[in-house]
Amino acid sequence: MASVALDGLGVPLDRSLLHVFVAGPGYGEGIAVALPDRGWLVMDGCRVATGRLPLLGILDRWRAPEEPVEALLLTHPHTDHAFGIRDVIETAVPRHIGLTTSPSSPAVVFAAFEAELAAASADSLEQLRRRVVLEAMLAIRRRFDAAPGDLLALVDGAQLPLTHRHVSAFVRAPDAALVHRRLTERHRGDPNELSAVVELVFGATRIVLGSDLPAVDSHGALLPAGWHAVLKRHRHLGDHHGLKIPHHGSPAAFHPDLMTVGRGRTWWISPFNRGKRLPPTGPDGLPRLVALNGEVSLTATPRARAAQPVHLDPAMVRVADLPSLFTAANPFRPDAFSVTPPAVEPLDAVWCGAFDDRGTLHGAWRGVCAFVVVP
Amino acid sequence: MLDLWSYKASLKERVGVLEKELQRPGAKLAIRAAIGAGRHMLVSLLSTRMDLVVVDFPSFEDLDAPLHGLVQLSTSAGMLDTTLDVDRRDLLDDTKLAAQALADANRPVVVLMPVPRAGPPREADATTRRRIEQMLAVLLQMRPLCVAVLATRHTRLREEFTRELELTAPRIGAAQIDASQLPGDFGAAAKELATWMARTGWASTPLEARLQVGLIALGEQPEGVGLRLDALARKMVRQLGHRPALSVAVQRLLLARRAVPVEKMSAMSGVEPPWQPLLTACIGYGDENVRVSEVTRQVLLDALKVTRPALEDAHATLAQYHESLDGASSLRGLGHERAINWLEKVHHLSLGGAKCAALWNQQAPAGREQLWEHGRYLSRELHHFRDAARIYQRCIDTFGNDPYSSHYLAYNLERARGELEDIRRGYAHAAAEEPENPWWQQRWIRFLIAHGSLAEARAAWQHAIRFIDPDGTRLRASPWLALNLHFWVARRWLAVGRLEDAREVLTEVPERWLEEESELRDLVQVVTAQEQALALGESVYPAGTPLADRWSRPRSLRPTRSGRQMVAWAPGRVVDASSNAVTVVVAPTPDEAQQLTFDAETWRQLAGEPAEDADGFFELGSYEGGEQVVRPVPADGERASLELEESELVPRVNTWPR
Repeated sequence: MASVALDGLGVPLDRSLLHVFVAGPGYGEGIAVALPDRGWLVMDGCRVATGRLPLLGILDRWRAPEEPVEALLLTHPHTDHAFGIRDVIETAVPRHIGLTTSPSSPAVVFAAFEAELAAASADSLEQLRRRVVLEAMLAIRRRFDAAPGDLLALVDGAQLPLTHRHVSAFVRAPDAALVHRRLTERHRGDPNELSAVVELVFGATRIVLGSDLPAVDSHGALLPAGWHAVLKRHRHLGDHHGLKIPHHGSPAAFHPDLMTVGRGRTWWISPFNRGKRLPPTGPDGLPRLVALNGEVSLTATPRARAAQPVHLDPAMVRVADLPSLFTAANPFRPDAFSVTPPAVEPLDAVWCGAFDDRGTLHGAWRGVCAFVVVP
Repeated sequence: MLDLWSYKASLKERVGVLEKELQRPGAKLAIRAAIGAGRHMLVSLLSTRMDLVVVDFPSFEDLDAPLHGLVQLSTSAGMLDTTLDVDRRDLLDDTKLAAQALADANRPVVVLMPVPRAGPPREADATTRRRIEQMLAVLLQMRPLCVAVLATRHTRLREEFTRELELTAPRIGAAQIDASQLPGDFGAAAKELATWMARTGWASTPLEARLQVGLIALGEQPEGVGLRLDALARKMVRQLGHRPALSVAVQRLLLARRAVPVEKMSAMSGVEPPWQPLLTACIGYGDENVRVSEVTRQVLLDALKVTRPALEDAHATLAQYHESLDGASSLRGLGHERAINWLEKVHHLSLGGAKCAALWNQQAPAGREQLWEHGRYLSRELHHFRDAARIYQRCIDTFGNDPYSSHYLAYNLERARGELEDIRRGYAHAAAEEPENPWWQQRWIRFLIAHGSLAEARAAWQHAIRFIDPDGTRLRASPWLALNLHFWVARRWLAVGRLEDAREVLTEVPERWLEEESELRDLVQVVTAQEQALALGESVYPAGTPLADRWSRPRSLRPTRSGRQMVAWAPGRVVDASSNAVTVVVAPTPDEAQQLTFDAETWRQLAGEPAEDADGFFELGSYEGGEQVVRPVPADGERASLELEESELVPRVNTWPR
């Protein structure tokens, strides 16, 4: 389906549909879901270079006054998902706050919050990451102290207490026993392994929001709590209508039972440029995903503002043309690609898809930096 | 030891003038006296001629100083018990009552103001200073009351006076040194000093001359004591460092705020008889009662690195001494002298540590200030924050709420990880009551940044700067406000990852202070480094790399290799390494970071290390002929350490209130 500019998405939304907004300005990711009829679900958060928050931009524009945010979920405590958590808590006052913790003793997540955050680091971005997470955790802890029952443990088997009758939200990962063990033993594993995977069900429509859950570690070894285990428990997740590709499209998060062959589905990627995670143009990157799904929607190109392409309708970029978006002028190597997040406005790096309850996508809207990769 | 006969004669003339002035109804006099000009001598002479009420405030750094002043007034007015009877007393109301009684009795009041420390305002003395100034204003506004204020030239006096007089300090030459009054080594030292002064024509103030004699007695050569007061005091401290027992005796003398009778000196200080003149004639002075000038006390106490046990021991000894003179556990019913001794006892008990705790608890506090003094000691010296909080709470319960108690209740509860609501209440009250107090505003804003809402924190900041420095005059005049307000607020924003807010606060500070003041400079470095990394999407420099050095020149690469010029270079960081490949980011310009992947062999050639060992920051250089080289860059630590912030905030997430 051809997309139209986000400016064309009317206010109010057509609330017979389920709207999924995916924001990803190049560093960070946030998802806002407008439930049919009434109510919102917010997952994680990101910011643009000016410090403004795409999710607040979305809520400001399309959320009706007094409309509740049913839940705010912090799928895992990484900066690129924790930007603006406090802002959403303060401005949207979500009814519930979810994070990965033990359902039997949810406070364990706070006790496990280590002073390692204060450990010295020479990496400025790492320092910032710790502080953004610290702020998010302070805000969540405050809410927990005031109303412990408002805290949701995001573990496999949990269902979000939405007041909405037609939509169900299930947590499909991580495994509760693993979470308890990790948090109580203060195991210093990669927090991505504790990423909460959420499945939204609206009639026959299934949307899978994959967070940052990986399948293998950086050496390619299968992770016991990764996608392999999740799909063993919930094989149906591969049969979906919308998928927020996990971990920004990292090859380490690829799993053939999730990213199955099919057509007519919406796959979103919020690029993350740091480290070795961007799905570049290699065979295990975007081309593989495009081959499986026919197209993949990216929220932005990871380029500085000066080099940021604004995609005109239909905003389709062929796989073969991808390198020209990423490749940078580098004095050392011809195969370098840019990893600098674009300097964008809050709604520039956003995709929105509207689904009915029969699995049909009724519309797709995009910010000016968002585009679709096609074969 | 000093023959000040001629100076005393000139003082008598001044006393005559003062006496005349103070006989005019409602006279308000300011006497600006230089250090060492003999303020106490002047008052003593005046007292022999008039029925004066003398209010001699302790130091601005002593929180009980205003109470001390009030008790001196009240006992002189014969209304101490009336003052104590008033429910939930207010210092200024009580001052007014006493002043009215003294005016009715037609008794002039002479106020000896504490000597302020040089330099910008300090939190340690700001409250006392303000309260004493307020008390002084009450006295001066009492129309019929005659008041003379003796202050140093640099003491802030805001009120209008009917007359202002100046007193200069005398200069002592060889002729004024009377060695015969001193025994043994000290007599010899005085002679040596006189000889040297005569030879060189050196002149000292009386305070300096006394220290000079003491230093010579301790072994200094006369040529080595041709110094001004501060330098002499530092030299004295060095000398005392060789004589621990004598050093303890000196500490005790310095901590005694009131004159000590000569005959009690040995018992009170523990000084050995041969060294007694050092205390009674060199550091202290006086014929029957020995006092130490406040300036000498300040500089010596600052320079003496006194251990806490030694300080506590000295306070305990002094408390014992004053207890022998008051024999009471409350102020009620005491006459002037006993009341002063009781106040001194409580002061020393409150600072005397564990061995004084029981006795301190037995005393009925006469005012907030006595509780504050103990609370501050528990908090600042012992870090017993919970106990300190209890003291401030008791103060509020006993005397009613006040901004100082509520602020430090909050401050100590915050450190003791008390309930956020209680902390909020305390900070909020103090901030609302004293909107111009930068320290209290700063802590209130910092609390809100971490535990309030963003909107509250930002509004509190705007409110604070509007009150404290509405037109930016103070910020432009000196870096003081930026260091006491902006620095702390920006730091807290940074500690919660709010770069834009931190930047906004720092933007208010003139560029000059950001460059000249190391704390501010380091903070700007951290903020800018994080902004840079965020915009770039990567860190390619260690956080501590000075901004000016970034992208200006390589730090680890040589400009030539084998005679070949470097043609390109970029800072970078390893983001992933395995035995097969190394993925790095490099930023040839500050505008864009780029990712590259090298196979293991290429990396080994570039960096001279196995791929799996690749780590950290580096520089990648390219030389004529195509050779490329990778060299590691040491990771400097972060400059403005935020450990303090994090040590306060992290426990708010991972621990529970006790």
